[in-house]
Amino acid sequence: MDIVLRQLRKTYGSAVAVADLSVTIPQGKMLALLGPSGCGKTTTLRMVAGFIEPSAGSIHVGDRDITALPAHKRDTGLVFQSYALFPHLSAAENIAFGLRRRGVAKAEREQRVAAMIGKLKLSGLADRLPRQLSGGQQQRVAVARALVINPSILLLDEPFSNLDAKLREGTGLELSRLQQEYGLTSIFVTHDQSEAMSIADVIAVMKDGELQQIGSASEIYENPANRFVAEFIGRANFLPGRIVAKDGQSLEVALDAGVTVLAQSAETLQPVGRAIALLRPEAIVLVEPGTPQTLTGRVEAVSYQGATVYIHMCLADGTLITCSATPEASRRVTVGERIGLLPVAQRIRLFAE
Amino acid sequence: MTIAWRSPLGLVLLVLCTIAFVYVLLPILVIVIAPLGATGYLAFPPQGLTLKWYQAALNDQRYLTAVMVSLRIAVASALIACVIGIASAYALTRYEFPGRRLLEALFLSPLILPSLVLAVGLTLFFTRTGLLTGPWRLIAAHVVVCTPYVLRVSLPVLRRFDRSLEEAARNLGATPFQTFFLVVLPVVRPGIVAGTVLAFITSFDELVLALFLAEPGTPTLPVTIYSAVQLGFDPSVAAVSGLLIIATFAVMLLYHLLNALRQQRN
Repeated sequence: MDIVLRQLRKTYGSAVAVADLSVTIPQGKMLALLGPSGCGKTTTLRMVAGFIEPSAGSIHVGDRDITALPAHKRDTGLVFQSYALFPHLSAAENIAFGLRRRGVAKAEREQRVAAMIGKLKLSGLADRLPRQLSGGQQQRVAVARALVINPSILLLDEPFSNLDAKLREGTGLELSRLQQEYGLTSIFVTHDQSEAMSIADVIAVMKDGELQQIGSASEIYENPANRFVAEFIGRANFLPGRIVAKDGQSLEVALDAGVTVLAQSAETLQPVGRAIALLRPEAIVLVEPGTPQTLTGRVEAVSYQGATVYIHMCLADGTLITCSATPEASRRVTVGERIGLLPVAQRIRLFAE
Repeated sequence: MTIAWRSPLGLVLLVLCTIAFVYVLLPILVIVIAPLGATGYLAFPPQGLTLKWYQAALNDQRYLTAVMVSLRIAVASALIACVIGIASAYALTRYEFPGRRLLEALFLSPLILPSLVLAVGLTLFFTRTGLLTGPWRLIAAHVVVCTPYVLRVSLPVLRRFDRSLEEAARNLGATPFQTFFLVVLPVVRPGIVAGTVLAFITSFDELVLALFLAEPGTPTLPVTIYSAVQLGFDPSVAAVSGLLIIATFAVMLLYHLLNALRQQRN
């Protein structure tokens, strides 16, 4: 079932937690609500779960308006950040809790719990209390407990923030596989952009209660709607400059660092005036120093990350800039060396200063 | 910080601790041992050795009846105080409403109110209004003084309670009512049991309110002991106290044994 949030709003006195949020999540898709803490993402999730009453607007699941429904009638599966497993119940009893509330008969209940335990690789742990389980196991119990009731939608509140980095990626893929298998429409709250990009179909970036941009990971990374989004998602270099001409969709910008480049912008910018250009690390090509139409930087540090190497450089005016290179290309670079930097025109985005 | 007991400071502490423990525990020991003496008055150390005072206490119908009266009143008061205490603690920790802090202070106030004041007030109130009869007057009075004990213990337990557990239960389809009984109560049970036990003990050995409000003809144990002491200090009175102490130790021992057993099973 698809989820539709219509003009959803939550205010506390004069403080706006969520400002008129309208989002549609199509059946079977996963939306990530992404933003720094206090951006309203958790408030939005809690309004959908029924723990917070919206000040205005409505929430629809399928063709049902659930805005006024109490939490226990909403039929949403929620995986909590803290997992919120019942400490006095075993793993199996935790998973069975929702089925009991729905009056599922004993035989069917046991069979469904057993199936879930098998699916989430919890065999042999069914009789353990939550405190006798590791963090990863607790998380799987929490997921099993949310899925076993066959909820109409799945809600995830930073489900990986308490797992270590290695476990996080595996669990993320596992969860997204389960979500697809069940065809569950999901909302996933996170402050971690890489988590959002790796498992969500659609990402909604929020700030101060307002939706900044909504789109696929690549749309948001490649065409950020504003400087906040550009800065929040992925690595970014910002170079100030002045717009000198407008040519159709392209703007010609004279960067203060010394070169003139062509750039696109999602914002409506005046053809003449100050602006700031975004250059992703991979939008800069390393060339011989002194090549025309390039910037010159001095290598400050080389940071090896495996598949990619980040080269941190300092421009003549002191601006720090990071570009990425393949490990092969990076082998020719030494710290202290001067290198030419060629911005790739198609990849430069411009924002109001 | 640990202090070696051989150091000068350690020795001083050791002596102080010994004195403190002796001061606290010796009277209890005296009460248990003194009635073992054969004399017709209470003497310590006991002269001679006999169980006749303990026997007399056990055979004295007055004490047995009084224990039953006290038990009934203490159980009823503790249970009612438990229900009222938990309900008000839940409301005080979960809902923000005007006058919440005032109400909390008011609930806890019987702890600092002299029981004599309460006794006189309640006696006047009950005789004027004619409300409640029989043991219920004393039970009502005990509920007033016992509820703060339950509240005192359950307030911090409920404040520390992880709210997301309640939300998880609601999310899985539990009504607010089911959430309370299936999740909140079982999780905070140890705190509530402790508060209820405190309430039971408070009611069981409460004297002032019982003197004013107990049903004529069926005095509670503290009232019976009190009048026996006033009439003349016969060692069987001390034997009653001794029996209570022994019973208390037995219950505590049993509790710890059961706990140890349960931990072994886990």
